[in-house]
Amino acid sequence: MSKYKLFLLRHGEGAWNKENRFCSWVDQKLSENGLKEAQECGALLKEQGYKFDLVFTSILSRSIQTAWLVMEAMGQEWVPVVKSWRLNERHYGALIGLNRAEMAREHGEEKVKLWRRSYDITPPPIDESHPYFLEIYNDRRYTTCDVPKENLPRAESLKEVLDRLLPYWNSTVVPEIRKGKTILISAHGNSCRALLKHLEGVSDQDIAKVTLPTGVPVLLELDENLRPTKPRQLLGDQEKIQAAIKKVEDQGKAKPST
Amino acid sequence: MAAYKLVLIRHGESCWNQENRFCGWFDADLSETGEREARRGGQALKDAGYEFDICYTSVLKRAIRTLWFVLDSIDQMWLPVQRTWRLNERHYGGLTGLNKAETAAKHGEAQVKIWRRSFDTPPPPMDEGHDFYQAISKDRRYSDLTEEQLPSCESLKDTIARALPFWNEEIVPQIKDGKRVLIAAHGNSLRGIVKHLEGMSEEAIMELNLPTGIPIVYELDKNLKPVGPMQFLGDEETVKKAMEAVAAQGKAKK
Repeated sequence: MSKYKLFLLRHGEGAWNKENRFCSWVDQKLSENGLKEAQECGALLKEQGYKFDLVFTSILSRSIQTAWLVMEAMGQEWVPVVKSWRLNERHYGALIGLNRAEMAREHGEEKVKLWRRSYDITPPPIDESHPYFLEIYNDRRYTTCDVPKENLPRAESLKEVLDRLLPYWNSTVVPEIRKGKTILISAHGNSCRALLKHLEGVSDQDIAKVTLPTGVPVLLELDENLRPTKPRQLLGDQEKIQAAIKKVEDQGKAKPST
Repeated sequence: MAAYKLVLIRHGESCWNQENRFCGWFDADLSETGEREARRGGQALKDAGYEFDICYTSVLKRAIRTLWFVLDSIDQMWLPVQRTWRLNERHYGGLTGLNKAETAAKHGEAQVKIWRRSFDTPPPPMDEGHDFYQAISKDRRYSDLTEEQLPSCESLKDTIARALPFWNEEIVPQIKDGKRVLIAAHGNSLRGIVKHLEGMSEEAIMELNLPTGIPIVYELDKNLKPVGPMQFLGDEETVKKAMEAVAAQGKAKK
């Protein structure tokens, strides 16, 4: 019996997605397409009559922007929004800012595949010599987190994403779900996947195959033990969704599939 | 030496402002002009290098979206935001939705004058028959309010009476804790804060119309008393116009 409804949303295109670079903790805003994706997502959710009680986002602008546009489309700007670094995108360490070709050149195709597909292998950490190090770690928002800045990650595997997400899920999100609130989590590809892995009990191997399309709301109906009562539902035009999934998967391939 | 800085911003033109209708708790959106005003306000804060730690706003979209435009401009979208009905615009009761002409036609010029000049006379209540009763009084966002809290109409006195507890219990402790606060709200809820900060009389606060879309800065001492008059942020011309408009208000004939 479905007791609770939870919505996950992966934000849409940012400026770097277009160039196929790992954005990660660099605070890019949404591109024009990304803005549109968020607006369309909001229109869909409005059309289907959903009503949120609470919204969670990361502290990266693109997930917040996405949430705002969704709420605007639904006329639910008044719904409380809670933000946390624990919903941030996976920290890609030294790989941040690199694109496909650069990554393969610097580290070799095999290594890159491993970092992307494995559950618990961490990429090399970002250090002071990295072009984006200061932009990230000098940002004031990282002095407001619930861990001291020096303890924030310098690189993460997907497992490490879940390790820092799960305490937040349990302490902050779950109690709200249990109050019967309909919740939207507006976050990123890997933070959403990590949460899905946990909720659906996906294995370490199988999670690599799970691809979330951007801008498509994922509805999870949960029982009173917060276990899914049915498979996750990707809401919207199913053809469009399949195309969007393929688009993300193609980005992961070394050569574009023409 | 100012211990604290506080920034207030009153939202700009809404779609209903354009039509000169009493808006109150009706959730009208910003007009394009209002959006421009918000962006301009945000730009002024960005140019002056303002950083905040926490933001407060009402549950009405015209204030919330104004805040969002500002946060986007100053690149601080990650700041915590608290929304509260207590910072809502004054509830105009039965007048909600009426434009100036309709109001005068319905209630007579004399009565309208009384309402406009009175600090504590509320307009007629919004009853179940009102066009906007369902949309406002039964809106989900007010479901946590008690019967006593949910207004059917408000005088300026009533508005201030429900805004100040939030100021005192939620905002003041944050300021005293050294948090830099930004409040994006409405003409009358902000009047409540200004009246309180400056110890203004009822007559004086009724004369004061805060400029829209322009960040209003207060420097406060450690007892939260303003060390000087409110300052406006913006380009020279915008600021000058705002100051002149405010100064002229006290002298305007009614």
